[in-house]
Amino acid sequence: MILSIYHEIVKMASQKKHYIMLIGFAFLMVLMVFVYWKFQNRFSDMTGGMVNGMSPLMKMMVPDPMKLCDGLMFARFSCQILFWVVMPIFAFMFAGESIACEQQDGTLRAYLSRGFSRTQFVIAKFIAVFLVILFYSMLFAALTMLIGIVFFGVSKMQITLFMGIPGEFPTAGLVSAKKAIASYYLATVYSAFAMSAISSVSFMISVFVKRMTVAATGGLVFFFVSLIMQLAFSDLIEDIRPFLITRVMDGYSQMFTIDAVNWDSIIKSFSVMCIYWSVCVATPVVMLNVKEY
Amino acid sequence: MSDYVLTVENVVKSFGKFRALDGASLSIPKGTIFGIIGPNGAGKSTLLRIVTSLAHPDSGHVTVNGIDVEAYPKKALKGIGAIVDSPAFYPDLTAGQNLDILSRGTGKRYKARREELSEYTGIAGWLNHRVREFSLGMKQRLAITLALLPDSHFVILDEPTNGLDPSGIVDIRNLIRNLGTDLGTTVLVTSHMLGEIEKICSNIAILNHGKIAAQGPMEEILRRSPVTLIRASEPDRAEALLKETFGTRIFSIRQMDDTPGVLRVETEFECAAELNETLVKKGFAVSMLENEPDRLERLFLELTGKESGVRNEVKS
Repeated sequence: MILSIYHEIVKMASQKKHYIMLIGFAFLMVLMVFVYWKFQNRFSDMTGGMVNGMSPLMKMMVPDPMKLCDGLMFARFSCQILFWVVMPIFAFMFAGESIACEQQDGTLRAYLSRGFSRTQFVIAKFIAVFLVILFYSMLFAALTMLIGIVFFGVSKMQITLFMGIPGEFPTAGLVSAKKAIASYYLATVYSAFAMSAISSVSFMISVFVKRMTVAATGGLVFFFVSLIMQLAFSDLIEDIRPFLITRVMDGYSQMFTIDAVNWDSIIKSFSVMCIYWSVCVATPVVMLNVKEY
Repeated sequence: MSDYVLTVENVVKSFGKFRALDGASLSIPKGTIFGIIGPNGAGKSTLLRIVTSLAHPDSGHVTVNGIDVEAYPKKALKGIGAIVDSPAFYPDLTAGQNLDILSRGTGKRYKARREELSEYTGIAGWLNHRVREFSLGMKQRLAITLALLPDSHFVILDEPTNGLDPSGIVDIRNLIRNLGTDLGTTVLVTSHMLGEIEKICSNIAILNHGKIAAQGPMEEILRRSPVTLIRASEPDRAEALLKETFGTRIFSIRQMDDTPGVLRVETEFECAAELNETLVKKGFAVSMLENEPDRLERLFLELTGKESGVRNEVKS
């Protein structure tokens, strides 16, 4: 299995889309630095307003609200967009092409004709996709933080102010810089798991089609329709909301509030992930063992 | 232990109403270079897909070294290298990486074998190059190397000379022909290029409408109803003499329209020497006596029910 995973990673590492990802990330960072710099004062006003409503002790802890708008906050802010919008697209690209591309190029037939385990082939591919997503999540998180620190510095106290779950109010709190960094990476790891569950839809589609673009687009449509439904009709879809693919990202914002993580919500999110993982990996396993090539 | 590497018994495979294989049966002896020829849609690729477990037969059995491919695909396909359809590789990986991934080979012994085989197939200097840079001929060589890795004793090559230029065809032909003698490998080759099959293979099977129309050693197959071309003085009298002497042993005899004076004699068995002796004894001057070229093509056309200029001439 380890050899299979290694081979899958080698295959993925050779692809040209890594350049596209890096260019996309660089473009996002340029925009985010500009946006953060432009609206820094507005953040300052907002955090200042929050401090005014706090106790005298808290006011002593945060004498200059402007300092709260530092590089770490930039990283947290940027990663919200990175992990909600940009990374799902990359994840769909990798997962979507995993099997479809091999069918398209004929390498799947070459591989299967040797009598190797098809179940192992699918599982190895899925794990490889997860590892690549995890790698990029950690890399982008580190680079985002680095860019934030270089441009906007670091202050001792951090305000954990986030957009939160779409359709719900933002959450806020004060933590130390160390805790903020720990929660930032915890959220990043969580996000990689969530991305893996989200992209599993494309992974499943990829066994049915011979075009990578179809599989990736199928997953993207599924994800963004779920997201729009969650944002626009959160009340009306209350019954099915726990099973929407976007539900798995709920735990992402939770991870930032390191002192008060709602573990019940996290467990529910992982449960939904498990459902998607099971269905979206089992289906290709069955299909590959039954389908004729 | 079976003397046959591959045995196909009454295999039937349908796609909807179309029956791609209709009770096909064949056996491939160990150490042979076995060719399967057939017109487009005859079922060659379907047969290869079933042999390599890429497709499943509706009925019938396929065994490799006595092991049922349907029941134990992993065990049966161990030691088989197959290139079904055109050779497919990961274009952005090097040739070496492609070999490692597609053969799942590891370890020092594998590396040594890889080096040895790539030297043999002539791609040793290209193992660190990306497959994207390879010509079709190089890809075919790489495909043959892959089929031989890690320790294949039976290699299946689907149309290995397809799309190659003449020098590439000669190279690949020589390479395949030497696999049996140099490495002791049994090779199964499919092609619609009859000349290639005739030059490469020791045994053949002719597949038509999903059935094996003929199979066996090449020479044995070609000995069936051989055609001898004879240029003799007084061809009308010579024709009458041969008819009278050989009777039913001659299937057909006539003078060829495009080369006047040449008799085309189709016989039950190879008997060119006897024909010559009969004519010479009776005082005919025989200035040419040869087997008709493209024997495999003629047999193929005959067995597959296709018409050609020659056949039309014989039948008329």
